[in-house]
Amino acid sequence: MIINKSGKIRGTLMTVLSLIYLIPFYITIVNAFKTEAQIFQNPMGLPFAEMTVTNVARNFNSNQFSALKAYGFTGFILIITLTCVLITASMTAYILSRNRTGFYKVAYLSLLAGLFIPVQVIIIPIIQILRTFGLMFSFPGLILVFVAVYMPFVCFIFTGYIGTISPQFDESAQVEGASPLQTFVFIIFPLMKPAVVTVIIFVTLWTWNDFVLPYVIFGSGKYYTITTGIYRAIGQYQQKWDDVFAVLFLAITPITVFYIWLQKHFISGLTAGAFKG
Amino acid sequence: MLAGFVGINMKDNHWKQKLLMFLPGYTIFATIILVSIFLTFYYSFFDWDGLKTSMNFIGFTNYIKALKEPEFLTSIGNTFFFALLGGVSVNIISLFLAVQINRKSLLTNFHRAAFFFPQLISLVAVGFIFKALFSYYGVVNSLFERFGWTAIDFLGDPSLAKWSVLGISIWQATGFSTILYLSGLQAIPAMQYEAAEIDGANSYQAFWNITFPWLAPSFTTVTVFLFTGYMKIFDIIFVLTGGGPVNTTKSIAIFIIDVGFNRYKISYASAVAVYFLIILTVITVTLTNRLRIREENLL
Repeated sequence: MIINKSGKIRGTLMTVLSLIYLIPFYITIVNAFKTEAQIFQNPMGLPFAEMTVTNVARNFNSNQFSALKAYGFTGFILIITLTCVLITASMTAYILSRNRTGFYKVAYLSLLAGLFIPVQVIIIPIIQILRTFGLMFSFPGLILVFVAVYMPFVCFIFTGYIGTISPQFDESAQVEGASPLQTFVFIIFPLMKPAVVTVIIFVTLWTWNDFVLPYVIFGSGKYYTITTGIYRAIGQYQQKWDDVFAVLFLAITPITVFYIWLQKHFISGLTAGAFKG
Repeated sequence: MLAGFVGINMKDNHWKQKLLMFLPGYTIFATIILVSIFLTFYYSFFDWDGLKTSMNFIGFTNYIKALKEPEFLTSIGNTFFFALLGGVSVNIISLFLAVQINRKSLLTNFHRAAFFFPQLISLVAVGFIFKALFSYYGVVNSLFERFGWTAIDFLGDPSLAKWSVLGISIWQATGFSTILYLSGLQAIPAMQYEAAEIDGANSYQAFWNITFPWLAPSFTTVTVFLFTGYMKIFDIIFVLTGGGPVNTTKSIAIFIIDVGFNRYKISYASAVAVYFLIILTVITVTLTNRLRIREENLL
């Protein structure tokens, strides 16, 4: 009985805490649908008095900021990046996982070292390299850098996971005459599903939310992602809070919907695959 | 010949195909990341603005110059301020939250989802949301005004901005650490607590004698994760204050990007980046080793 009661108090306390914790998002969402005067009169209340969708509509596809374009550009970058990372890193990791001597060992250690390099340390030379290849201000430039930056982490996850798949699978495939590529494509890769899910979640979140790389690589050119787009847009609007909240609402909506939809997979995928304690 | 030299087994009939499978991913990594690491060191010994074709070798001049520059030293100080205070606070808060919501029920699922949610939103959006709330003409001050309180310049007052940024970063970082602690808590066998209960231990004793030691591996992960994350703090400061007022919130990462891309001092920024890399590596390695030894002693 006593335990039950203290459990109830604890539950209520945590519910109150988690609601307080979410207040910033609540304010963003309700104020995206208010007029500027309403925001100042009543910043905390629901927008019943004079609900308006003009702020959101205005910022959905205008000259200053087009959420539609931002979604499109970011989505495009994400899909290509994901495809490239999954294909290249899984093959590299497969070879590294099955060959742990000589050259391949050194290569694996260099990838591990890459895990600890913050992007700010190498951002200046990265720009010089892209400039040399004429890839600045372009999608291929940004995607190439994303793939390179994710490579150590993704190889680390995949190498670890392939290590848990018995080499007997490889051997029996090879006895039947399969080449390493065939073994990988038809036997190993289909077994890597949990690791692939973890990688997809991480790469999606990182690419969708990254700011430094698109900010520096796209510069003030014609392309922008969601993060660099809202940075530009809000820089223009300054204290026009109705526009600011509308832009922020548009920026956080897709991932919120995505999260509510796939909530269970998110948390378990993030923690199980990457951090085993 | 080459393959044999670097230690690839050429007796293996498939060595060529294996190498071809390995190379695409590794080549992308090597040409961008490894070459860039080398170039960072290389640039740091020259006097170069990124545009000139001639580069003057100047040895350690950039490194010595950095040590004499107050702005660089301030940015290191600020970064440690965030890393230490943020790391400790988030650790305590998220451990507390994890213990509270470590039960299976619909309600705790909601708590978990709520505390985790900010982790998914870009730091740029989080930064702007808090800027809309806490800037001088923002929502919080308009509420203050209504209550007849004086407005506070949370992000513009040099003595306050640092603490505002710290608070916002704590709010943002708590979710992920909480989830990490939760997965650690779920690995503790229930038997441990049952035995303690039979021995008549109260919940306070149970926490210090069972929960805390068992969480040692999670503690290592969370601490290293938080510390390295805070050392790299960039986006949220960039949006909230840009490093100001008067450099009070300038972190090393902000300083590097500012020097490299706004002032075009490529070489100088590279030297600072090398310092940053050294500091980060030394601290990460020391911290990890210390915490691993602690794990062994506790278990």
